[in-house]
Amino acid sequence: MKITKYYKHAKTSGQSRLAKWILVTIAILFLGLFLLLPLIAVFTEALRNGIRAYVASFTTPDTISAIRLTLITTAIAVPLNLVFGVAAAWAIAKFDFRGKGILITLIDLPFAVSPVVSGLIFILLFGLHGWFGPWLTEHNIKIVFAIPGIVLATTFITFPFIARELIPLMQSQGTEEEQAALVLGAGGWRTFFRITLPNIKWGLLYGVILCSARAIGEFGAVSVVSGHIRGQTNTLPLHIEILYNEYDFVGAFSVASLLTMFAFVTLLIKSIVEWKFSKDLQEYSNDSNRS
Amino acid sequence: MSIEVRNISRMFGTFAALRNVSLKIPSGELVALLGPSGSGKTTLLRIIAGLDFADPGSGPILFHEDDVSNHDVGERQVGFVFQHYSLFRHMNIFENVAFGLNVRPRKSRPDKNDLKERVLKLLKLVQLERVAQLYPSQLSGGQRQRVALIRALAVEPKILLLDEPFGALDAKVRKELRQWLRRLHDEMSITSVFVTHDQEEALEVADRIAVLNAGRIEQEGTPEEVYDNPANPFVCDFLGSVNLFHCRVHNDRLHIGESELTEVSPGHTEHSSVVAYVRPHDIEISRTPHKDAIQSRVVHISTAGPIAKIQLIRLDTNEMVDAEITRQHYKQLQLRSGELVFINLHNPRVFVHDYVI
Ligand SMILES: Nc1ncnc2c1ncn2[C@@H]1O[C@H](COP(=O)(O)OP(=O)(O)OP(=O)(O)O)[C@@H](O)[C@H]1O
Ligand SMILES: [Mg+2]
Repeated sequence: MKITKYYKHAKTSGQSRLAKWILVTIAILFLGLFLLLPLIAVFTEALRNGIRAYVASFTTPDTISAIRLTLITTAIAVPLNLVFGVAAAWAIAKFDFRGKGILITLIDLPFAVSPVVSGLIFILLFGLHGWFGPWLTEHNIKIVFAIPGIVLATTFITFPFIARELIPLMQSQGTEEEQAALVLGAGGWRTFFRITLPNIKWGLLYGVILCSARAIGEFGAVSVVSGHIRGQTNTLPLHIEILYNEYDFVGAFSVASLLTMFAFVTLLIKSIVEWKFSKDLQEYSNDSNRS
Repeated sequence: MSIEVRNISRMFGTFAALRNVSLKIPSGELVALLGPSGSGKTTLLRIIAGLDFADPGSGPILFHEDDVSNHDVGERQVGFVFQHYSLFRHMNIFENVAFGLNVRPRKSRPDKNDLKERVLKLLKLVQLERVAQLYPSQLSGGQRQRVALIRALAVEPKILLLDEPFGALDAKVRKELRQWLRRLHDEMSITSVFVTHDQEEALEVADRIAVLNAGRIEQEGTPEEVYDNPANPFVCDFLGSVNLFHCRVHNDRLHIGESELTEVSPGHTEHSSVVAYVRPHDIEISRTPHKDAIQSRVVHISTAGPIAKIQLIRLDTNEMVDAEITRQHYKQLQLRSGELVFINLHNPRVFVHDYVI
């Protein structure tokens, strides 16, 4: 805080002004090259044949089915991870138990492993020749190359987002407020819903946003387990790839622009939440400094 | 409601935080758990509250004859004030105080107007009506502490447990609040236990004091008892500053070198090596040379405050001695630093090694 102020108010000499401009120019060029240009490219390509072709590419049955599948997958994976993430973070932050270190490492596993490998693990487990394959065929259950596989892979890949966000937050908040509630006669559930949850709400929302963004955009693991059955097991990112490989550039970029717009919305919500969240955190640290 | 714990032990891994602690707290008393950091005060308080549990094999925890050791924290219905207040930061002050009433089962929950009235009454009691709509982070430390206290009292507990309630406050606020706590305790018929590591606080407000050290209760009694008749050197040392003199006991008197000093209470056996613990205000300073006194030199005099503090150095052993005399006496003596004086001891507590003789 102090340092930035100091720099802002300091009289910049000719030399440092030059350095400043060079640095800013580099940053802008870099951003332009790697972020803005692709963005422009996506929308110009998508609108190349006019707005009508752009809209039309959303109404093909395959695109509609891809949108539906992506939404379904996200709608299942995110709530699942919400519950898992809160439970895991709660256990890690508020209790001492054996194997805590292992649990923390396991939570990070999906980040550490390449998504393609994650996908292959599911094939290995549930594929036709996988460990549970024969049993699954016997009972006529399809996981790999079907929606359950896609949901599983997405859930696995996006698992760390919420837990990772909550663990440090919950650790810093400690357990005294919950204990105070328990002494006052609130039961376990009530303590959770009235004390724990309100205290982590912004962190939780932040985690949910990151998790959703990844669930919608996940490509690698899903690509391995989906089987690319058009109109059935294609999510949006897979659909884009197929369209592109079939030289339907307008279609590919139109669908891509959809994902891009979703990214914008995510960023917007994320900044709002971040701002709220940091205010909460600050308030908390003020709190603990004063007491 | 009286409280009694019997043979409570608590291990954390291989570390014994409490060893065989037994304590009886009569109904309606205000009792202080006094001890240095890490002595197990918080652990004992949490076990009484039900926030922590004693090791298997420990004795019962009795609230008015009922064994509550298997009851959940919520069932025990005690009020607990945490060291760092632990107010609910996302609720305003009113909601904080109302929480305990709001989470009651429907049939015993007061209706809206009744609840509001009760909370406002409590807020008025601690002069915080004005801040009812503010959030904990907007309050000063002293205000937060008072909110924590009335939040615990809102559910009308029969037992109030306080963990270093004034620990984080400055000296003046501390003093005000502890006297206020004493009055509050007397007004409500409640049994209170408060943890502190401040002996002055314990001596000033408590009816009884339990002195803890390394997971054990060293002594339990009224403030006068523990101050005037400490059971062992630890208690003596912990309850205020004290000077140590290595002496001999002979013919019911303390001897140092050739000097025959003060009497010890009769019945003491002869012993060639004892330690006499003497409080600074029990050191007598005199300018008249005397064979039966310890010759010392005045090193430093500090007269700020109600008493004069004199620091002396013994000529025989070069050990430091702290003495406290009234300002009046100090004026009469007209002491100067560097001067030679003669000191005698009063009310010595005599211990052989670690045992009382
Ligand atoms: N959950 C725990 N796990 C491990 N050790 C603990 C735990 N709680 C307390 N202890 C240990 O038990 C001992 C007693 O702790 P306790 O909090 O009761 O001390 P205290 O008398 O309240 O000290 P203070 O005045 O510093 O608050 C300490 O040495 C502490 O390290
Ligand atoms: Mg403590």
